[in-house]
Order: sequence, then structure tokens, then C-alpha cells
Amino acid sequence: MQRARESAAGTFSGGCTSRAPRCKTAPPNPFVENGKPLLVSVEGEDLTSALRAGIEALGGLDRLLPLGREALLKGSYVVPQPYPVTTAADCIVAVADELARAGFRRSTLFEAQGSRLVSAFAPEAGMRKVGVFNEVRRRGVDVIAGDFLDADEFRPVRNPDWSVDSPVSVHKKLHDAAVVVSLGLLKRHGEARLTCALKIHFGSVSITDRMVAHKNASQGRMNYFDHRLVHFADAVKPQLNVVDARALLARGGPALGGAAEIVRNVNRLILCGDMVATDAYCARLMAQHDETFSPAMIDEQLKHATALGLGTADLDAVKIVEIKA
Amino acid sequence: MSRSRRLCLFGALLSTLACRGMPGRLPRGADLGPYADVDEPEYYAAQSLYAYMNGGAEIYNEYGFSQLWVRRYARDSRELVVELFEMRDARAAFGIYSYARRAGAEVDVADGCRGSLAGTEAKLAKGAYFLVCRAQDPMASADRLVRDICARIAKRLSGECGAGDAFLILDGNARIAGSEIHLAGPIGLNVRPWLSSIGREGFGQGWLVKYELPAGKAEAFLAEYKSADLAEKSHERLLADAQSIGRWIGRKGRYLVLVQGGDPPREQIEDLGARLISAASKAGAHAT
Repeated sequence: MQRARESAAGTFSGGCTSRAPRCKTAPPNPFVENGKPLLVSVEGEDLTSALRAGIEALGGLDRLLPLGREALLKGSYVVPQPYPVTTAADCIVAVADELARAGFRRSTLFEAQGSRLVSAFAPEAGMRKVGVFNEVRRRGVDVIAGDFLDADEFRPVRNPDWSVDSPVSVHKKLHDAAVVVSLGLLKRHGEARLTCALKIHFGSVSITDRMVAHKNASQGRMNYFDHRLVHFADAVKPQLNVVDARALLARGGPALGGAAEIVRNVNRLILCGDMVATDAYCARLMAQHDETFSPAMIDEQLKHATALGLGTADLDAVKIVEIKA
Repeated sequence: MSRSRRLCLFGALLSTLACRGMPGRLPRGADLGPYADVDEPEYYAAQSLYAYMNGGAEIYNEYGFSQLWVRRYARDSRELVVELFEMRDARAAFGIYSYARRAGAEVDVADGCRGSLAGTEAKLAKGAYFLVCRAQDPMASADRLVRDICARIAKRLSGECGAGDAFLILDGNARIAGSEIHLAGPIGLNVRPWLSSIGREGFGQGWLVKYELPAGKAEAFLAEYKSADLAEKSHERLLADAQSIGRWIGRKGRYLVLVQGGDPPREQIEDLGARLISAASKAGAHAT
């Protein structure tokens, strides 16, 4: 029964399920040391110097060059509220500058949060409202605002190892990009409990996939929701995660207005090629600042992501480098 | 029907439900005194809330969201955002407010209407409305204007302020005022780590609350299930869960109570649990 319900939901979200190809494969994490994924956590008040120090500790962004010379930067604009709710313009520009320094020809900010079918809700409207759209373009970063209702922009993909037997429609720009850099934020989330490296990819898939996941969660099927957000991340497989934790959104989220409280002066940037390790570290950091959160609250997400081979949640198996800049 | 056609229809539906330029229940800046309008007002109905806040809409829906008006104002070169949520009824409005308020940060925002004021954000519930006033830049320093504009708008809203009968089900002795949170469905259970293992199947609503016991504070959770069988199922699961060690767990009919507190001795925790179960059972029987 459960399988049938999930399959029906997937048909709505994915179209012709039998023809959906397997989700993309990604080259091995280039940021490793002695076989362990590297995670760099930089503490510093100046974004540019903290980012540069972090990238140096990571071994340099030129490790990504064999994959391509154009990078897609996945931002997050779930609601038109500035940082720390959404990805900040200065972070986007700083990462793009570092990619250019490493030899990348172009960096493009990507988000699919809106539709041209709804005049009041153009895909770039949220980025405009928070001042990111014009600011990053002025400073040389291209912007692609995907239309989350336009089926032609998405590609249904599947993975036989997923616990839900239906495809996910991932945006073609992300699916086809050789290098994806996720520019995550560290926030509590009313439904997902935490949003960092994995959950950011809710914005990488079609609105119907997102709605089906939300519907299952609101009916109490949290495992469906937890697994599905991992599948969304699996469909993208970014090469690098840069989490801008200069400030956190604690107690609630992913937006202001509800229970959320901003924790200022955390002043951390987290860089890692492993999404799962990033989330495990993010969870630990959040727990230090939010007594209403425990890393155990996202155990199921990390367990499923690990089982799918997306990374490791065991921080003892990660080479963690904590530095000050 | 093809997937693209379905998406087009979905888009058309959203476009009729997410409107710009619809003045709605939020007044023009000039009607509020020294405020100027910024941008067009926005309106979202229940089906289009996701268009405004993708990822944050579920909790509002769980409490009984009806419609939302958003308007941006400016004063003294500062921009403010006002969100006026109309909920199903006053109980739903106070429910989402109780979820959103910050403990220890409640003040008199408008005449006799207490709200939560912290940092750059003010929130209150009045009648069926949940009002949020916020500085556009959340990283700005605390802003007296958010309280000012919230007070001016609150005065124009119909209905009463206060919890009404939302927490009458809870034993009132030694309860810490302002600590009460009404949870309207399973998503609300994510509000605390120790509520994670509570069964979500058949979970209807819950009340989270703090008490000042003679030997220290304790936090309690009262859950109401759709049936006694589902409450018992959750009860059994909790008793078998290692994370429940040290917590008082009890059930009567559709009600389940958990109490936890590190400082008070076991007998004080047990006494509180028994009082909560008793008060809930009486209130439940009365409601029936």
C-alpha cells in the first residue's frame, strides 16, 4: 500500500517512470587526505580571507579543474529574506573570485524558485528582492533562474537503490553541470529539522517532487521525507559544499517569522567535498548554538545518505581541519 | 494528462491565488502615519503559500492557514516587511504565535496586546490574525520601528488578544507563563529532540509547557491522539525506547504525557505527570 502510494506520487512528479535514466554519476571526491574526506572549518570575521584560508587548507580549487572550467553555484532562495535565510551576494562573489583565481572561466549562480507562469512570482524575483540578482551580476557572476514549473527544464532520473521507487525530476542545468558548488546555509527547518548540504537540493528539483515530499511529511511519514531529500541531493552530487555559517538560523526555520532566531558572530565557513560529512559537522555546530536541536534528529537522513554512498556521517572517518583566519 | 499540462494548470492556479497590488487587510503606508509604501502589496491564499515561502509553509498549514497579506514599508530610510496571516480561527492564530514566540521576550506591543519582541522582529496574535513585523535586514541592530508599525496595525485588527482557552487543558499550578506551545500536528514535534520518538501515527495535537517545581524546572508534553489505541501504540513504543529512560511517561485514553527535568526529584516529576493526565482527561471528558 505504502509502495503504491509512493509510486503514484512519483508518477505525478516524474512522468514516464519506466524511461527515466539513472541519476548522474560523479567523480570521486577530489578533496581527500589519506583516503579520508577533508572538511575544513574556518573561523574568521573577514569572509574573503577566511574563504581563501579554507581553500588553501582544502588543497586548492584547482583540484576541480580536471572536471571542467565552468562552475554552477547552487544558492538557496526559499523566501525573499536576506542572509542568513538566503545565500549572501558577498559569499557568492567571493567563491566565484576564488574559482576564477584557480583557473575557472565562468561561475554561474543557479536557483529554481519561481515560475514565469505566475506573473507575481518570476524565478528571479526572490533573488531580486534580497538584492542578490543585480549585485552578483554587477560583479561578474552570471545568474540562471530556473522555472520550477517548466517540465522542459527538468530531467527525471532514478536510482534503483533509492527507498522510493519513483524518479526525481532534477533541473537539467544541475544535472549537466560538470562542477556544482553548493553554497549552503546552516538553519533549523520546521520539517527537515536541519538544512545544510543535503537539504539545499530541495531547490534543485521540480516543484511537484517537493510538494509530494512535503505532503508525506505533513501526514507524519517522516522517513519518506528524510529519504526523499537525500534522493534530491543524490540527483545533483555537488563537487564542493561551502557553508556560510557566519550566522545561523536557530530554533526554527527555514525562514524568519516563525520560531527562528538568528545567532550572530558564529563566523565560520565550512568547506567539504562530502555532503554527508558536511551535514554531520553542521549538525554538531548547530547543537552547540541551539538547545532545541540534537544531531540525532537527522540520523535517518545521514544513515540513508551513507547507505547510498553519498559520503560518511562518521566524523571520526573525516579529516577535520579547524583553523582561524 | 501530460506532466507539462499538469504543471501549466498548477501554474495557472497559482497565478490566480498569488496576486500583487491587492491591498487586502494591510493599510497603505500613509494611513499608518509616517510610513511610505515600498513595492506592491502581495496576497497569498492557502494553495499558493508555497509560492511565498517554499519550505516554510508546512507549519502554517498545519495550524490552519487561510490567507496572507505581505506589504513593505519604509521610514527613516529603513525598510520594514509586514506579514499578516489570517488563520482558521483565533485558536489557530494563537497556536502559531505560541510556536513562534520567544520565551522571555513578550511585551505589551499594542494596547493590552502582548507580543514577542526580539531583535528586528515583532509578532503577535489578535483574533484570527498572526501578525509579523520585521526589518528587511535581519542582521540590523534592534529596531524600534518594528514595534511601532506592529502596534499601529494591531489596533486596526478585529478580535481579542491572548491565549483564550488554548491552554485550559493544562494544569495551571506552577505553570510558567509564556512557556506554553500548542502543537497542531506532527511537524510541530520537531520542536524538541526529546519529542522525536513520539509516535506520529494518529497524533492530533499537543501542548508543550514548562513548570516551576519546588526543586527546579521540568518540561512536559501532553499529546492527544485520534484514538486510545493509537495513543497506546505510541506509549508502548516510548516505553521500549532507550531515549525515554529518566522520563515520566503516562497514558489515559487518547492522552499521553511525558515529563522530563534533570533537577526535580522523581516524586515531583511523577506528581506533575499525574496532574497533567488528570486535567487532560477531565477536559477531554468535558469536551466530549
